[in-house]
Amino acid sequence: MLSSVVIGLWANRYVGNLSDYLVAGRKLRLRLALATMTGTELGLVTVMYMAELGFMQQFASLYLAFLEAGTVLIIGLTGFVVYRLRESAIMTIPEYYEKRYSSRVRVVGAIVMVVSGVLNMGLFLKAGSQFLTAISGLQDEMSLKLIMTGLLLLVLFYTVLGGMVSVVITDLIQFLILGTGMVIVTGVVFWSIGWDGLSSIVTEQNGYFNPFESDNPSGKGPGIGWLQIIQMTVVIGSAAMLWPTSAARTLSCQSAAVAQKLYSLSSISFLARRALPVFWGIGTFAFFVSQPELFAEFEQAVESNPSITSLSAMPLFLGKVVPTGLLGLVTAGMIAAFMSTHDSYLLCWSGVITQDIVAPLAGPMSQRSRILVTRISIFVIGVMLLIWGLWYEVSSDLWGYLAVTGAVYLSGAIPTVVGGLYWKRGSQAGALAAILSGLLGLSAMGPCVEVINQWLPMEVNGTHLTLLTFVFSSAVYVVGSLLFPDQSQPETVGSAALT
Amino acid sequence: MYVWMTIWTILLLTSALAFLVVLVYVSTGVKAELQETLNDLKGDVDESRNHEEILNRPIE
Repeated sequence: MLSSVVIGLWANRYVGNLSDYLVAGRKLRLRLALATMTGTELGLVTVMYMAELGFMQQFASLYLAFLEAGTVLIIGLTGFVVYRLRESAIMTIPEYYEKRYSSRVRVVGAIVMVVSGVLNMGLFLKAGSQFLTAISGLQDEMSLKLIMTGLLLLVLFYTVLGGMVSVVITDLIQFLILGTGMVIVTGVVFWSIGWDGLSSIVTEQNGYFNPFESDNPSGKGPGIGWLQIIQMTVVIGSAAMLWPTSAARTLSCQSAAVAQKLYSLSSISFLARRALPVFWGIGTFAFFVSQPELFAEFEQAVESNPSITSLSAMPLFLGKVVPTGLLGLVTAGMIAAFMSTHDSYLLCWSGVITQDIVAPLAGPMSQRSRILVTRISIFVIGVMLLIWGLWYEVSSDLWGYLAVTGAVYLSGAIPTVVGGLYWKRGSQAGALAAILSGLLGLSAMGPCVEVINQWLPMEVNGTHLTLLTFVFSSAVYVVGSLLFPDQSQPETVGSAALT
Repeated sequence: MYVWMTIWTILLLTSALAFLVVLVYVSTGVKAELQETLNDLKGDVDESRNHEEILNRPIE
């Protein structure tokens, strides 16, 4: 952790201009880009929610890992979207909106992106604190809050100072610690459960294996089924191309060819980031069901103590089966995962606030002023995260929350970017309508679904509403573009008009 | 169910091994890549020092 502070100070020497601060001067080679992509996307929050799914839905939840890896591999092999995006030499996705459509689309798109992104990362701190509580047995809530605040301040320090340069260097170190820790933990989990333990999920526990079946036979969590697989295909497919933190890595690559290769290789990291924690969750399930008394005690604690949820099961299990010395390495790896995700997310949203909201509205700004505004934004978002993370209670599973908040941005961004790159008739009006329609995705959040169901004659859930938002945003993009075409073709790079 | 479990377990094992390969791949050449990237960035820093006015010039 101390090294993060040193790196922050040291990396500051390599920031010569705005491009260095936001996209590391677009100079990332393949290995470095792969390390930072993996470090960013393999966060503690990912580990927690995938293990939670593994615990509740056992083997069936692995479909998410293969769905995502397959999508990322297809993008890597074809270069779909990412190649043209990198070729357009932009620094943020909303910057593309202005090149292809107009300044207004850029500002509106950036606001929706920041709302969606900050809400999305709002629960990262909570997930992190639940991991630390369960794995270390730390019960004092105040100490826990202080530790989480300290960790966040550390991330703020080096991100504010060195921008993308320090994020990339710390991501590399964190990737190596985290990656090694994950492989070792997977081995330990397999060793402690054994083939017999895994087999008992089939023979004794009526485990969940086939994701296409909508009933979860284990009775430990919700089912999956076709509709949810379609929802996840849409959400994960869109996120693979356009999730801003992944896109920031694409845009930081040395060339479009490197960006494309990055995606091909990242398919392995994306597979591992979901599959390995799911395996830990499966191990947790096998462990608990083999000890019914302990399982009953855990279920009772979940009901009586609001700070213990199904998220806590995996770290509790690791705390029991991983040897003490190794447990330190696991905890260090998970803290590394926590930090490497936070730094990238903070920089990404702050860069968008400066480049795509403040600068277009405030008028011409120098590079120096933009770096200053980005630094202030990083700090402000950090403070907001602390408040949001401490007060908001999750009403659905963590992955459900992340998918819904992510869909707010993605449902508008997909038609706007894909249409912009591959459809000549896409217009400003269509883009604005699609981006704003994405806000309908907020209706899929737990409390909103309850209100909607009071008004509708039939029952709807978050899956229905998320899918509807995607369909509606794409439809209004097409209809809006056909009804209100642009008067003149905008000056653009990488759009269908010129390619 | 055994068929499902065998398929999932083989895929899990494959993903763990593939991830190990990625770890080794990154570890083997990343030091040189990092050095090259830092050299490139140093070039930007030197240029900015020589032309400080660029950093203060308002851009659209």
